[in-house]
Amino acid sequence: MRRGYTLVELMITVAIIGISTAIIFGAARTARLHGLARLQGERALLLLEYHADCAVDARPVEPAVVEQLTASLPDARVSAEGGGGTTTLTVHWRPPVGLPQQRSLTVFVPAGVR
Amino acid sequence: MRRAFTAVELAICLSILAIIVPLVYAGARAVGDTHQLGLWHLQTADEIRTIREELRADARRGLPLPDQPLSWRLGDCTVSYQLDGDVLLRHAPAACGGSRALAVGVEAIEPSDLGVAITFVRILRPTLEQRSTVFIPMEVTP
Repeated sequence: MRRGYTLVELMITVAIIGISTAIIFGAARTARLHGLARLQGERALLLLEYHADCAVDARPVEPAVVEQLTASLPDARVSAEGGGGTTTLTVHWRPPVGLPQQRSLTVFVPAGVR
Repeated sequence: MRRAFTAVELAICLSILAIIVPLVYAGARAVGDTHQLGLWHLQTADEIRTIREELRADARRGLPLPDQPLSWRLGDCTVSYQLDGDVLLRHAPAACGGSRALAVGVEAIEPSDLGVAITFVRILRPTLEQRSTVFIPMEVTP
């Protein structure tokens, strides 16, 4: 007589389906977050380039511009340190997941310009 | 002797399928959407870089034209940035780099005193639209 499936067989089948689904969902989510992180990196570079332009042209940073640039860059803050004619600008921000990110840009600042 | 399925067994089987098939379909669709959005973010990031470099170069070299936003005079040429449908175009004669498409999927480009706000849109379905606005700081008004 033909027997039915055992509970263990059913559980193994369900587990395989569950694991496969989780892997596929995880991969798609990772791809999306990777794209989002890349976009945020580009926004961070725009922010750095703006600060760099202001430093090189010796003009003040406009808060309204910074506000627009950091609108989609959570907890963004820019720091600057330098000497010897160069300034290194660094922006830190919080990505959608994972550790805080940072990106730096070093610019040559003409003598006398701060 | 092998017996046939009963009506109850078939009904149960169909009920299970009726539950599982929509779930699988919705799951596959969600995975596809998520993947598409990831690709869209990557493409947008590349396009932002291209637009920024082109705009910056033209704005630095050219003279802004009065009453024509995002247009500059470069020597004998006129360079302008316009939307054609959802394609962002740089119009210029060959002597000034020529015309080319800089980005697709652009919904709006709004110049202001402080810079240019570019809104990208990705419509996966009528009920699922994703927008991303990027601000490029620069002096664009004459």
